[in-house]
Amino acid sequence: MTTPTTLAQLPLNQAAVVERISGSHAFVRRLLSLGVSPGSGISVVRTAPLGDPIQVQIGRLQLAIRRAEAGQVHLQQS
Amino acid sequence: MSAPLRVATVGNPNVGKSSLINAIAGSNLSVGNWPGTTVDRLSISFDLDQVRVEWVDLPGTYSLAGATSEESITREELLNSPPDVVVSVLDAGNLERNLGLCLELSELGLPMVVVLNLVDEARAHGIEVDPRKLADCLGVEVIETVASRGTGCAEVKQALLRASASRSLVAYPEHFQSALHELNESNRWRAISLLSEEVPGLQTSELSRRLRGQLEQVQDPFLTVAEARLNMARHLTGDVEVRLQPGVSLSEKIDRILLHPWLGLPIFMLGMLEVFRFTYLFSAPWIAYLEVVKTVLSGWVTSWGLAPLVQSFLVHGVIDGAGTVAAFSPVLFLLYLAMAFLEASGLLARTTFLFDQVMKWVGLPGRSLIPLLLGFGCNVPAIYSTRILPNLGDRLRVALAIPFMACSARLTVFVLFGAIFFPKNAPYVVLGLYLLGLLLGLLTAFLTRGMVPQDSDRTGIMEMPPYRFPSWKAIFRQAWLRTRSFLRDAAGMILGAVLLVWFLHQVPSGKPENSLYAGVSQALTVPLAPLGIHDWRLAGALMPGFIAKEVVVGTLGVSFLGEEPVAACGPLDGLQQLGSGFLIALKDTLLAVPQLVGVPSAELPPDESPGGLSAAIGRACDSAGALAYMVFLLLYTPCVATVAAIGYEFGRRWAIFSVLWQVSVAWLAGWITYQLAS
Repeated sequence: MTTPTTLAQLPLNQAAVVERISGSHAFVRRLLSLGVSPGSGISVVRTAPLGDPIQVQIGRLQLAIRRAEAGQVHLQQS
Repeated sequence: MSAPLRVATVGNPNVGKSSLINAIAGSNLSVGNWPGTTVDRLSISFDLDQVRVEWVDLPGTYSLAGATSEESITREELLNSPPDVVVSVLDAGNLERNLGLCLELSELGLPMVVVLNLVDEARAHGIEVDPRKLADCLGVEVIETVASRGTGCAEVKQALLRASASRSLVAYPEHFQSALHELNESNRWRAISLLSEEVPGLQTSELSRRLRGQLEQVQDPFLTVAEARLNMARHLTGDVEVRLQPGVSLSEKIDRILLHPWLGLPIFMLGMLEVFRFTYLFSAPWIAYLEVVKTVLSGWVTSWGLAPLVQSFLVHGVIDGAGTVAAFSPVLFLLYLAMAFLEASGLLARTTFLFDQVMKWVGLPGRSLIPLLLGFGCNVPAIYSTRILPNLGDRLRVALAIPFMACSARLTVFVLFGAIFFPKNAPYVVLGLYLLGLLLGLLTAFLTRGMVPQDSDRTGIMEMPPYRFPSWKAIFRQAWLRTRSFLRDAAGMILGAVLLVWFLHQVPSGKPENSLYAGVSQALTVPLAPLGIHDWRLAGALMPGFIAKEVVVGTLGVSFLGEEPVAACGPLDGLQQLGSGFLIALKDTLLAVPQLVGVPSAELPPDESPGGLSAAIGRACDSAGALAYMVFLLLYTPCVATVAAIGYEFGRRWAIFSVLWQVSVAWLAGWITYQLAS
């Protein structure tokens, strides 16, 4: 089984750890200031009824993020 | 008395900053806009131990460095007119993330008080934060609060007077420290920002650019800074926080239902229907009461035996005009109330989540659905509610789409015409009109994609805050302040327009068919002829319809059947009517409560227009023309109040554009309808 490399590929309710975030400064800053950073534990809670965006959980924080942007959140390979 | 003590609150969104200022304000809260923007500015002032305190609530933000309007306002305020005390508001349940901004803030070196808010909610989630330990670490006073209940607010006030200067706690890597040292800039936050990224409005120097270039050789300094701050926040949180094993939170339980894969969307639709039902049920008794007030006032004026022209001016100009303005307020107030509730409870964020995919088709974020749907209630609050959208370009496009939504005022006309011309299919005709409006509104938003400026910081990331039961006091106050500002801003325009139409009716005196109003109406039938509208009375009613669509049916009544005589009433008789009318409205409001729960009905409300009007209109045009008239009336222009709202939020240029665009669309759609139907 291949391990997911980005948040967009992470199956529901599976724990993962953020390795790095790519993309524009605005995007990276937004995630960092929300507390999503390299080393953060992250999981996908649910998918929106229409397939996008996804709801992710980081600690107690719940975030909605579009799939395209979730693809810029790279996960650690165990 | 000495110079006032200037205080500013800073914090992430959803940490209860506005609850805090509301709790401290008592009754003297004032709401305005930040200069040059439409971001709400809340402020209060009060006396504290003989010191005048001027307190302003800065917009919720996650950092001080970004380019969003919230970040820019906060940054400029803190740098250009630094307050005497910064109140940093933290959510005790989300300490690590909240400390990020707090640590950034402390690099400004301003006197600071930390407010640890929502401690009750954190405790419910098994999170305990030790305020004394946190105060020791930060070197400033920390006060626990539950702002929505007012707990701890008195202590916050007292702490303002003894606030001590904050100091920077974040340890940056060696190479960054030495660059900071070399830059030798007194304000530490400014120095760090200069070295790490482009901050709008921060003047770089040759030295700062060179140092930043050197830092980039090692690592993107933006990441260096972000990581250092995060590590510090994480470290601090570990020191002061105790966490018990959390169970499934209540929010998650609610989300499991409201965001359910296939129950989520139907539940949302039912919820929106409930908002409209609530608005309709609770506003109807008071709109009826305003009619009573109007009748009594008119009756009093009539009993004075004034000259006919003066009497007509007072009754049909001033009182009718003021009545039109006042009739807006119950609906506005209730829709604003619903809006504030959606926003403060956390439901709004869920809407975005549910509908992001749909709205993406027209290039808008999911939450733009809310202003559009509110438009079906009344366009005016819908325009103001576009403020929930972070991006100015998106806001404008939604605002241009909103007037296409068939507001409840237009329904009165549809009901009348539907009953006359399509007695069997009226509900379907009305439904078709609603869908047509929605479709053309979305098309407008789609077509204007390239026409309006877009912010560069545009991401689809959004926090989904835990569900909260909002403080009623704050919600009621917000709804009332917004309704009041509508009455203040739009009253003049509406009143002026009513008086103008009255004037057109009077000049020259004599038969209504010879009045200036009839003349202008006659001229209007020329462009409307291709739509099958030849009767001047139908065309003319579009003019007052521009003031408020509520008055179209009334105007048609007067044009076709003549003015109904106003019955005079004596002072005591009038007072008695006012009193009993008020009691009836109160009773009907209470009786409406059980009706909130019930099966949504597909039936149209009853037609309440004067008898004889239906027959008269039935003779005035054929059914194809009637359909074209309904389509034209649905689309032709936002009402005066909506135009005023667009102008106020986005500038006069866009208000004019909106009117011209809609008239063109309406004529074209009406023409096509007439051609297809006849």
